[in-house]
Amino acid sequence: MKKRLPKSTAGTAPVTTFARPAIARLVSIAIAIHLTAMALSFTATVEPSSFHRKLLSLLAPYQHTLHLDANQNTFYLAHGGTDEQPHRIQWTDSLDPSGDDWKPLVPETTAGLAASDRMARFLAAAAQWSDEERSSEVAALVRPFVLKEPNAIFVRIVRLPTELTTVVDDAAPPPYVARVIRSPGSVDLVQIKPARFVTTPSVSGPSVSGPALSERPAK
Amino acid sequence: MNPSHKTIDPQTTVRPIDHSTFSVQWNLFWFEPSSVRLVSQLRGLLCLVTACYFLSSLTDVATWYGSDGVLSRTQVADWSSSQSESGELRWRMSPLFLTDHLMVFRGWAIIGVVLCVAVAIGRGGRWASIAVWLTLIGWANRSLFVAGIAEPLLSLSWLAASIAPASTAITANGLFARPFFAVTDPRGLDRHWTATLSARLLAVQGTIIGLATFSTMMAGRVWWNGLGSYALAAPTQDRYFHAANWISPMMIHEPLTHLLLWILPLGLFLAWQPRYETIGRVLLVSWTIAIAVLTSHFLYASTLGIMFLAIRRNLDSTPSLSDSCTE
Repeated sequence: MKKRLPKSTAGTAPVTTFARPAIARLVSIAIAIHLTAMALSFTATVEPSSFHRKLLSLLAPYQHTLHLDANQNTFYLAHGGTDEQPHRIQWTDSLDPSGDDWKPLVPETTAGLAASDRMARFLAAAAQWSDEERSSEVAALVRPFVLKEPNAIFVRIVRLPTELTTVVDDAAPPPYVARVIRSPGSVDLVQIKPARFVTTPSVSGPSVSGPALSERPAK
Repeated sequence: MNPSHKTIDPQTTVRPIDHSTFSVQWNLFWFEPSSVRLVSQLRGLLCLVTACYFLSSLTDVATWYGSDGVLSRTQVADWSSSQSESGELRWRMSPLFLTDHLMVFRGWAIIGVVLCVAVAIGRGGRWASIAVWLTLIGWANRSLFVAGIAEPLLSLSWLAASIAPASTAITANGLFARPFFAVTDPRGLDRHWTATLSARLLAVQGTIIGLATFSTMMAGRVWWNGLGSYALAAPTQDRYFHAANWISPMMIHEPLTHLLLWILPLGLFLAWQPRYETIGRVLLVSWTIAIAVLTSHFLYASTLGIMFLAIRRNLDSTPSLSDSCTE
């Protein structure tokens, strides 16, 4: 087998290089494994079964190391869900978080390029974690931005309305609102959860729980 | 044809071979030598997209990395220790996890751009392509969950593109040699089995991603009720083009939705048919352009479009190589 190609074919006869049978067999096995792993990963973007997840976890050393996995990103492009709405992170120096005096905490970037994509994914992930009651992890994500705005008293992540959202969707509370508590040497975020209907009967009032602070400040 | 290390000699007796067996077809498909021209063209485009990725990544390095960044080493260490994220992070390896210095991150991205230029002009051999791939992996893995839909496609593309021999994308054999949709003429060019493997891997990966995208799109009701295209464009605050205004009439966005859903499998099917491959590739590239305009996922759409351009049944094989082998 010829081992190399000349840099230029000008004035020389073309060179044809074939694969050795043993190498072809090895490469064939690698191709089969790689394409199977890839198909498993790219079909797991909507809602993989537990069996599907186990297969993907077996393949993680290969796919995660080389960043070849779909990582449950939205390769279906759009299903019209809330996670596809634009998200923004905002702050206010007002003592009333229900007011309208909210300012952007990070500047807008040109849509469509890598920087904009990263911020969109970050905020969507933070909003989703907040929906999943992972308030301390959301606080850890948001805190670096809050540190850059010393006047912030409240910080929130909002889902912006789109052409497809309804009035009811738009009236939903922001996925994350937190009070910024500053003390010497540290900044804590305490999530303010929205009022929710509860099924437990109440003796002293209507069956609506009032605004409550999260379980503990996130360090 | 079974892969052979022998070069065909016209003086030897030539006999026809049986093309019917799966192994023969498999070897012909993946390993029959072809010229590096097609891969050179596609790799040149890939260099352009990857360089854009690194350049746009330079703009927000301070937001994510460094000691005050969202993805600082301290932050990552906290996540790694938590039960829920440890499995996710274990295999996301990158040398960039070892530092918080912003200059290192900026230098890494600039090296990525320089390597893309080197590969595009055919410098550095295969190692330059592999270096681009590793640089991209290092950056994408360090980005953790803020890495999105462009990075896996770029990594898959570079895995395939780095297999072929190095060649320049901007001279007679490369990017501007002939139209992309033409079947290349192999005469007078070097041919290598890794060029075939590289092109085939790009094409098959693009096909798998296309089919997976089609099947998962069908899982959403917006692709059945006619709102799919509108759902792509609706978040206008995050879109470069405000296409929602253009497609707002029902008579535009509903047919467009059905077209976007069904053009993908149709284009893939046609692109693998020798008679209709040009039509198939035109459909697929049109699909990626529409997706880019509607969603502003430019890097994702460009990379997928490059993969689609590799789809073709026949690369540049000559009949003598396909139909015969030496005794």
